[in-house]
Amino acid sequence: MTERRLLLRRLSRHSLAVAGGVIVAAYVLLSMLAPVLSPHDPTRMVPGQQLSGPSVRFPFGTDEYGRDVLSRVIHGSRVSLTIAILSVAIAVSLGTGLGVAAGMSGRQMDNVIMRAMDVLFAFPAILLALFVLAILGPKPQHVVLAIGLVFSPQFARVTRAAVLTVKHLTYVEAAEAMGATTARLLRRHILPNISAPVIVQVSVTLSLAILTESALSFLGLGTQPPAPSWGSMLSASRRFMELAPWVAVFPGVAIAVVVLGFNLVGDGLRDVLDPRLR
Amino acid sequence: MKAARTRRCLWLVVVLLLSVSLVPASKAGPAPGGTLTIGVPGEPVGMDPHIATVLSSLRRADLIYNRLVRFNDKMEIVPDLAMSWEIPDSRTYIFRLHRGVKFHNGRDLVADDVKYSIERIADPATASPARAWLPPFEYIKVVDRNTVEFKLKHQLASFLSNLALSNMAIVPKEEVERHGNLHRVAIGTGPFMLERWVPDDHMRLVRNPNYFRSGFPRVDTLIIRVIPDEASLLAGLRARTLDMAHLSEPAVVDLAAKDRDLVTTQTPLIMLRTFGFNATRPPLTDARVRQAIGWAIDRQRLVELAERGHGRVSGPIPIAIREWALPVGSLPYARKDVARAKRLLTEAGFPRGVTFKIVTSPGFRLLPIAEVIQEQLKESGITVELEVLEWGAWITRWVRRDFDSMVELRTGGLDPDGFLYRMLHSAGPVNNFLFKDSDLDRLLDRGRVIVDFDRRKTTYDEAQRLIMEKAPFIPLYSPLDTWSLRRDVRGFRLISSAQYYYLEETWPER
Amino acid sequence: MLRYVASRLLALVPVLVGVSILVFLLMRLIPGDAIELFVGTQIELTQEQRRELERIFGMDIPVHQQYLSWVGGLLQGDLGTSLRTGKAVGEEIARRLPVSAELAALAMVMALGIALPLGVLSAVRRGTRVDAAVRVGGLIGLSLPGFWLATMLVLLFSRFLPIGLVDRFVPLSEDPLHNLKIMLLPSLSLAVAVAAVLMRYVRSSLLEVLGQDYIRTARSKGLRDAVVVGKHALKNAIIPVITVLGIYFGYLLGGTVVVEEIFAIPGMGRLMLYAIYQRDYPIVQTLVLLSALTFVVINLMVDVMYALVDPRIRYD
Repeated sequence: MTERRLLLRRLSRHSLAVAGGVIVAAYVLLSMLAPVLSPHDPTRMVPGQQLSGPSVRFPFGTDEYGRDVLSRVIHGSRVSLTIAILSVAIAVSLGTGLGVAAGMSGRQMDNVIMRAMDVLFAFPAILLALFVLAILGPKPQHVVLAIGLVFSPQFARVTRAAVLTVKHLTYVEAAEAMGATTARLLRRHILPNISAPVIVQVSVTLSLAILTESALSFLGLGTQPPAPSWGSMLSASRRFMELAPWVAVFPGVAIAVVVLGFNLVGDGLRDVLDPRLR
Repeated sequence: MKAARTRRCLWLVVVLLLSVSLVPASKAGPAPGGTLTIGVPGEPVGMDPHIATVLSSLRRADLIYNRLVRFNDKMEIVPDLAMSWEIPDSRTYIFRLHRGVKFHNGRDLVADDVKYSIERIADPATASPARAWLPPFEYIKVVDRNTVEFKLKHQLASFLSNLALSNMAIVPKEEVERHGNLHRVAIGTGPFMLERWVPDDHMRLVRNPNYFRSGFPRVDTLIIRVIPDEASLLAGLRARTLDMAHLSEPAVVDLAAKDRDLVTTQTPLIMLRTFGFNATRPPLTDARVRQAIGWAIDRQRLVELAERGHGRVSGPIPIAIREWALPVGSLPYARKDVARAKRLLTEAGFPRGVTFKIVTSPGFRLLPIAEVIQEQLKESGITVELEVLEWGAWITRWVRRDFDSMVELRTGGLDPDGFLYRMLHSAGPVNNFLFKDSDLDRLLDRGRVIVDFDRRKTTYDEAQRLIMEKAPFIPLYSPLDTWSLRRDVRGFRLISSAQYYYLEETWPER
Repeated sequence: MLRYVASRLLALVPVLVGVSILVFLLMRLIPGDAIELFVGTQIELTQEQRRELERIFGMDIPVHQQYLSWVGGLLQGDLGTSLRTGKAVGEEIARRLPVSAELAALAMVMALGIALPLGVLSAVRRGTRVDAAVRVGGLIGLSLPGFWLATMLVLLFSRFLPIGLVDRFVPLSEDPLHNLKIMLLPSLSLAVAVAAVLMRYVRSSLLEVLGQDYIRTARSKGLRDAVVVGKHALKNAIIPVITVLGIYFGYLLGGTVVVEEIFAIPGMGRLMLYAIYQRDYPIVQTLVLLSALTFVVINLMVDVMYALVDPRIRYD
């Protein structure tokens, strides 16, 4: 308990991590309050206002159908954050589950699981997600599943490595020798010890998940219209970029800033949890 | 008096500008030779004109092969390889070929080649998409070296115009036999010969010195560059690496139109954007619901929003088929009428509106149209969910008729029969609306065989009104074909069938 | 050592078999088969036409036999024929591979060019504002979506700075200068993220080396900082950096899909993307397998290199 508080204090003194935390918190707030904060209905097409530049009425300009880009960027945070968080949740549960299973079980099981993970890992990531979406159909829950699947091998590897290290620590071996059950070993000794690398991996993966979701939407297989997604806004904007650069600029900035937020937090966590890289 | 005439002249100029050819007429004769470089967005997929289904393949075939007849820029049927033809009775067609036409391999074209080519298309084993355009033949007879006679089993009013389709190329038998198909060899009688093909990059065509139209092609070399990104096409024009480019992206077309170094010219294509319904899926089984959708859509605004205005609102026969298409104003849904849409829904038993899905895909501008429809229908209490699929998945849904509604781009030759029968007859091969209406079947059956223009016209007028009333689909608009040319390009003619053969008359003046 | 390499090589086999099965199955699970896409929507096939096409496309035999005949062909060096172009898959890849390899190599060089000086600077000035600035800069680089960066570069250099950097692709063999000019922006948009990662490794690896005894000795002998860092420390710190670079080369080779699409570069990523859309089974299968192979082999090489360089790491 005290150790955790110590970590938190160290993190709070890490100014970059704090900045990242503030960014992420701001986005979470933005997405929760999107309907209140948006000046316009993000799906309303305003005739005669197609591709008009930034103005008082439309601070970020309008898109090809005369929809307000600012409102769409704000609502886009909902899509991106929800998908990122849920997909990382899937990656964590799937990955750590398999990683623990591989680390704790015998050599054969370990081999089977880890080779399967290697197969997924060796498969080009964006293509794997593309395949999953093409097969299941591009629905938000499938995007979550696809991204979750793509990022689970990293968690499996990190977890397995941590489990193997911990398993051979003297006190763990002692506990095992004294007849502690596997469940108890896991709960008391292993899980607390693997949480550090997993937490670092989570923050990194959150940023990657946002990037992947937008890349998938960019390729046309992400979120469904009229729900605004940053990636699909960018993808559509390419067709009239020269006429209306603002449609391409703002969603990209929105992505870059939130990803930076997650990266700053992740970096801070790594500093605090993994002293080797300091 | 003089002022009035000037005004009329000006008006004429405007009309000309708006219609087909924006290209200044040639002042002097062309300088012979030279190279014309054009940019197009699509890479051909196989070059066999009888088997190809992809438009970009057919556009190359337009340059390498000839057909018996072709369309001119007024969409009239004019001679191509056939110098003349007679139709002694409505089931017999006799074509007399130009003399001295040579294939690129040096051999003379003879009537046997025509017989062979049409029979190859008609043979199911060839798997030609054009087979559906041919009637069953009683026989195809080589009368003499330059005369061929077709005897149809039954009348087909659209036969002659179907022979002008790009698929109907006349090919040399020996080359097909030597290579199995013509996907990678291109030996025709056309103005250009294939010299080099670097896939996904460019195709280099050279002048056919033996081309039967003397004086053509005007250039020695034609380079077709494949540049999928339209902004890059425009950049190529500006940088003078391209002389002309085939554009379709509305925003890019607008930029090109503003550029003073370029001449941008447009004509409505013989194609139709449709918003079609699966007639077996409630609530779309009820014609009143489909009509309500028709009244709830503002088609002119849809063209403005989804295409930046680059399209012409059309009835069920594309507006570019001028002699057959009824004016949009005389047909239902000419003006959006939300009250009427709501009334129709109430009559159909849906006072609170209806909900259904549009299956769509990001490519071919299907998605923007679906998005605009979704937004427009809201006002009349019609809720639409979009299901955006990857292209291949979309095709599968199409083939299996697994959808509530779809936005499509329909093609079908120059003749109303080609357009309507396949799409709407209960036996039509591409009637994926699963639409069955005995009255319409009767009209379409009649239109197939009547040869007399006036009687045929009455039949298709009636059919168009019936289609709008039963609304198996809502015709939205005909897209525009757009070419952008550098100012010094001469002799190009744009045609509504989008075929490329007029490039034989085009040259850069420098 | 040899035994270790041999056993690792052997362990690659199940992974590659797994990848080949996975890609084969995924390709066939996607709705829409090659024939439906080939034919499109405006044409109705008769049964015999469809069967003929199935025969041409090799789809007239059971799926497991299709798989076996594909793998059998692979083992004999026959990669199959593209359904889209009718050309040999090997030929298609041979044309695209050099382009992607060039792109990846340029991106690597650029990434190294950015990361090395900045990483060294950050390590030497550890804890100062310079260090913080470099680190934040690195994180920003890591956060920019590659495709957005690419889009912005296109916008910038086609609309505001038209100095010919955005132009039609020309192969290196045809016009090297022009080629390098147009490959500049694509490789830069790939390099930024890699540079950000590399920089971090340069920094931490250099810090670790700087903390070691022999460096302290060198310093105590009065050698100047620049000499210590440049001559002694960097030489040792570079090894882990190179291994990371290796891993990223593999990643770049396969991960250039979006950038190639934006800059219209006819590389492997684009070939793969279109082949998926068109259900060109032989192309997709071979390319995915190839990229997995590159990936695992590079990983193996990295591990072996580690083993060779660092005697403390034992593999038995």
